[in-house]
Amino acid sequence: MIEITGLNKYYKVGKGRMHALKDIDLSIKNGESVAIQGKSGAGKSTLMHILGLLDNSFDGSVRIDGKEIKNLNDSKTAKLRNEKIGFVMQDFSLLENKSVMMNVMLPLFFNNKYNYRKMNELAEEMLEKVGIKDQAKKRVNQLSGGQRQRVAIARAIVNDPSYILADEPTGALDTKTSSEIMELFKSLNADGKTVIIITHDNDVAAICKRRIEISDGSIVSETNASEEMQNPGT
Amino acid sequence: MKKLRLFFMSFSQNIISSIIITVILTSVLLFGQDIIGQYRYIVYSKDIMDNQYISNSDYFMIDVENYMEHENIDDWYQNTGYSASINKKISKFDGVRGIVDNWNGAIKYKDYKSYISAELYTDEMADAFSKLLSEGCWFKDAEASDIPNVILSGPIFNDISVGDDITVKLVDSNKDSKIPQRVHVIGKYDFPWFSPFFTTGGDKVCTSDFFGQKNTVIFDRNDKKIMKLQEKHRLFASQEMFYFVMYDENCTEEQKQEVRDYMNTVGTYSTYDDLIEDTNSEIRYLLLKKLIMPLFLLFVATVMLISISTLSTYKKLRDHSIYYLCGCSRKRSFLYLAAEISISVIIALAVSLVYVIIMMQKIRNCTLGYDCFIIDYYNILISLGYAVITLAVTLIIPYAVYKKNTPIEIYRRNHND
Repeated sequence: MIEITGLNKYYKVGKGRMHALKDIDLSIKNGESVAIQGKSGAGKSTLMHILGLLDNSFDGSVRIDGKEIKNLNDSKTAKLRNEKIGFVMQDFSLLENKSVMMNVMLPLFFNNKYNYRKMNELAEEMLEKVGIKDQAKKRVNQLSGGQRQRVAIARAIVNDPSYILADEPTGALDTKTSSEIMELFKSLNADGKTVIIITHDNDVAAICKRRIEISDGSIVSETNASEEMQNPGT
Repeated sequence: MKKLRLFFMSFSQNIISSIIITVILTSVLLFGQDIIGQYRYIVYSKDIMDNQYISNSDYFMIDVENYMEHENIDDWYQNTGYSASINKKISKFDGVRGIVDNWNGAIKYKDYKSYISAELYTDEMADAFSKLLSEGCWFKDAEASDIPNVILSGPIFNDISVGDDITVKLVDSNKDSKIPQRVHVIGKYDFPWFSPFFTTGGDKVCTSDFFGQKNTVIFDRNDKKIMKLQEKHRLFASQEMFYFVMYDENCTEEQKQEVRDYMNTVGTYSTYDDLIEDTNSEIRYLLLKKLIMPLFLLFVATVMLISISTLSTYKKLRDHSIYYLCGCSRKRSFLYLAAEISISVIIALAVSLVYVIIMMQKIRNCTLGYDCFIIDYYNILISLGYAVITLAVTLIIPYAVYKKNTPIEIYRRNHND
């Protein structure tokens, strides 16, 4: 479970500072699918960086599975990030001139759980799951956008994390490929993963049971799919 | 093992530039070892000869044409003939304490295939090169013994201690026979086992012209037992073409001038001041002419290393931000980067280290004898010092780049809110 209380984030801008997140209180239960929406500059990616343990310079409290992340050092944060969180980014964030297999195995290099043979097995398994096992030996820069995003998803789940954080995962894809990728997110959520998607696309957000809208650094609205069913059109 | 795979995966992106830098650095360090070895040898030879006896001497060089005309090989053993007569005449000048010359022969020791140098020292010779002795004492300070006292130099005598008695076979060059002789060890030379010899003549003579690295057994020319053997056999010979003329402490400039005037009639001479000036000019030549190229290449390689590592850091920032995303800590991420940058310097240092060890091993096994060169662990320390300084400088810039460009900065640059 992710629990955020009184989260504030400031950026230095010249001599002054910019208030990027303002008094955010939020909790996300295990197994939920959450879409965080907002316009460009609203603060949604900043929130994702904090949730993803990429940035721990903030005011307030963020707990992941009961562990306060603010006080963790670099090594402990990295370990927690490796174990708990899988990322899927808009620009795919893949090692372009390395093989698909190497990219998928990458998170496994940073823990001591598996040997190289087991890492290979797991990576193959994940590639099968996302439907591109036949591309395993290709270099990432030889793949299409949709295939690259599948590689990113395979990498995100290879270490069996509890949380999948996706930042505009379909931003660089066409409509057909986008819906295939969203289907993958749905199935991951059905498998019990907590899926948090940052998006400004309503169609993407529609697959999530919970939708949070951020504007100017604050949560301005929050809806559940069941509420939407009761109040269609709101 | 998997960490190594990750390291090599990342390293392979810069393989060509890394190979080029490694080759340049390795060549320069190896070439540098040679120059450092030569520099150390010249400074060493100057230090050995920096004493009250040599500084009060002139180096005499006989006129070679006259020598060739008048001398024959028997004179070398019997101390007679043209050069010996000059030697005796110089010795009789007022103010001359004695002649520092080199008498050598050969001995066989144990089952070593090659001959070992045998030398006959006067007290003047011992005084002139007293700094070579690292253990024990010189002949004049030793207790009398029933068997000849000797001083040993060279790696083959490493297992012999001062106080031991050993048997050597003196080679009679006349009969080509070997005379077994029990000797008592009173002193030893330590590494680099240089022994003096005087075979250099010419306009420019340096202190570095007087030493050779070899296995040597040194005998006392005042030892009656040895001189008795010398009378019977052809053991030690002196060509007496070149030697130091050592003056008394109280020798006046006028007395010295008389000797020098005579030396000018039968050859030439070099004063101690000339010797030191020529040596200093040799050192300057070594530092300014010979060392300048490896230093320049070292500078180029270091600048290349710094530039390429800085560029490579910029190039890899994105990859390392992906590592960070996947759970690699910043510290570990920089370690991977630092390892990639350091590998060229480490390989060059390792090759240089192996070279020094092999050379030292060869010298200790007597399979390699080097004149004009000193190589030992100090050479490694110099290379190590260079490697540490270069690595420190080379890593500072990538570290600053790495620290300034956090993964968050990179994501933000690539994908703004």
